[in-house]
Amino acid sequence: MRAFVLFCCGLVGLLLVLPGQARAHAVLLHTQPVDGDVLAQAPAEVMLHFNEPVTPLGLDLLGASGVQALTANANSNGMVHMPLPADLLQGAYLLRWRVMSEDGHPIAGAVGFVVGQGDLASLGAVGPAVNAAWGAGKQALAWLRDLGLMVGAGGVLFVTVFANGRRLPRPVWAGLALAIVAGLLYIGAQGALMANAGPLALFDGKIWSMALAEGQLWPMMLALLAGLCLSLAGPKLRIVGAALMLLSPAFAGHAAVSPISFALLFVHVLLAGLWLGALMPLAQAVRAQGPGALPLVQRFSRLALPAVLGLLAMGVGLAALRFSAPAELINSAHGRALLLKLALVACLLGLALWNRRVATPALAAGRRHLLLRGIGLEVVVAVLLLLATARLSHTPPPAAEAAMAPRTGLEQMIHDPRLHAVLRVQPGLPTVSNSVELLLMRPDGQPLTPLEAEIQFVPPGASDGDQAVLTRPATAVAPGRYALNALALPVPGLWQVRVKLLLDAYTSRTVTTELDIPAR
Amino acid sequence: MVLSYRLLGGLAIVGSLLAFGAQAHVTIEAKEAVAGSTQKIVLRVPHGCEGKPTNVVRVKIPEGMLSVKSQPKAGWTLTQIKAPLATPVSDGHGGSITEGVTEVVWSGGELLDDQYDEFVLRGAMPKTPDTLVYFPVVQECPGGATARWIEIPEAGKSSHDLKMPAPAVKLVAPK
Repeated sequence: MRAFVLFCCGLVGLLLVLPGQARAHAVLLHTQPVDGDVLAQAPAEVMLHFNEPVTPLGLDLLGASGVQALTANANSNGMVHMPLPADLLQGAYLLRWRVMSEDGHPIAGAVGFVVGQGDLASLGAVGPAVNAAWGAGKQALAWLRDLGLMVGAGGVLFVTVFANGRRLPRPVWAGLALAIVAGLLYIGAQGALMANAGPLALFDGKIWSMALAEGQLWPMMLALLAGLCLSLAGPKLRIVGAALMLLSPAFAGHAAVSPISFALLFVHVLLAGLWLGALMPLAQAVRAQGPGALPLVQRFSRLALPAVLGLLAMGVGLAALRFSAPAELINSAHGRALLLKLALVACLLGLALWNRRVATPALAAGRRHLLLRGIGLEVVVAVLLLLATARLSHTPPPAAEAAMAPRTGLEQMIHDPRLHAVLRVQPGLPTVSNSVELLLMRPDGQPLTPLEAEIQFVPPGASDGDQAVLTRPATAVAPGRYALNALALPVPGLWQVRVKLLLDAYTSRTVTTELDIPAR
Repeated sequence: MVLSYRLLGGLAIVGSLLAFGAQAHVTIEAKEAVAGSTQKIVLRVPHGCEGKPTNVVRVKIPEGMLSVKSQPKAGWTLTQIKAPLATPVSDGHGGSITEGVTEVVWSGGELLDDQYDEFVLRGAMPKTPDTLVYFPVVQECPGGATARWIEIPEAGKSSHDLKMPAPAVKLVAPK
């Protein structure tokens, strides 16, 4: 037991030390040409700039004469360049893009532009939506994998920790097999989701190589397989093996956002495996031995309480990392999924309490059916709980949801030979407190962080020395991102905006743009 | 009308600020220099940072200016910062110069806002006649306040429109 605890602590410590990579949904920062541009000449290429490196999944150009597939070059700064065919005729074009962000979620969109003359509206719908069926398939496979893990790896833990058994019962074998098979198919489903493929996608080798190249799923598979091997070894190694298998769900998408989140989830799943994995073997023992199983039940009961407390503590920690305000529990999809899971957890805890208070003494008195029924109900609720968990882990956390929300307000791109800047004003209305976001990057896409940034807003018709000119220093919130809050732009019309950047001690650069503030 | 008094007051303030502005620039005494010749560059500092005394004066040496030597000043610590040159230059004796002074810093002094001082350096001007060479100057005052005379006009525009122009010297061809 002590070795087990030490192992867990060691693994958690190792994970905390490993450098973490923040992973979240990618967000499209800006495009060139801008959506809706009317250009005199066909551009040589289209450039999409995302806030993190993305994997292009499928890009095509829809024009009056049909659809052409495009090749894309993505660089490590989140920029995707697509050379356009040389002989583009005049007309409206829609560049439809699908990319995958680092956490495995595909995002899609389109950029419309007109060469010479044309009407974008004639091109019709935006583009291929991301196929939701494979997303649901992924969730189902995650549920089956977790089910297998609880019965299999959890069963191994129970047999080794509580029952001191040497032989693994048959259901545990079945659980292990289910976990491996579901885990494998999960990888295939991820590939199919990326490729937006049809139902027979799992038979296509390309889908699998795409999923494995993604780099996030093979650690999951590795953990599963290594764990399986160790579970079949001697009693001491079995604990390590089971723990390793229970590590695998933590590798999926949103959980691996940071080492702390990863570690919390690992301990959470481990404790869940310990608890839920014991349910079936306990029921078996009670059915077979009746009151003779009482010492086993009591031994489990003693460990169950700290395990539950640990589970709840890890859950609270994970929620604290994902949510920034309690209101998000109701407002966001992730929050509602969590509330559903918590409702099921409450049911399970209620049942466990009833088992401990009512059914276990009943067993001591010789009546085993109460406890059997109680454990049976717990198993049903646990299965539903795992379903809710699969749903939860595949719903993007509130931060990612907000990033994907359509933007309101005004946006201006500023082109300068030495830098690119994007100025966003929200909501961009007069007589309302506006917040300004300024994104700065070098031409190669790397964020540019000047020593100081100052933004000057010149109202329509005003000249430089006017009192109405607003000059504000912008504060850096992240490399290349500056923010200004509580800015009043009281007059509708065309405002001149001057962004003055202090690039180094001796170099300043001023870039200008305009903001068209609409009348209310 | 009340409006006209306010307008008058506003104009007076703006006018005096503008007047201050024009005199407060850091400038170089020599307006022109012969390209390639050794020239004394005198930086004239007439003001501090919005009323605060100046403690540090830094100047960036333009590209192409070689053999820079700066004049020490009593009460100030003189530091010449060297860096490798972009292209090594022959020293006329068969070798090559690979390092040059890129920044000169006078620090540790105190020049009050109502006082005037000059900071002097000397060197061989770049060999590019009919161009303007800029000497960006930064004044540092207590509390982190700075006055950065570093704005360089875009091609085709002049320094007159800038609020904090970098002092400049026009290079002319040798006669």
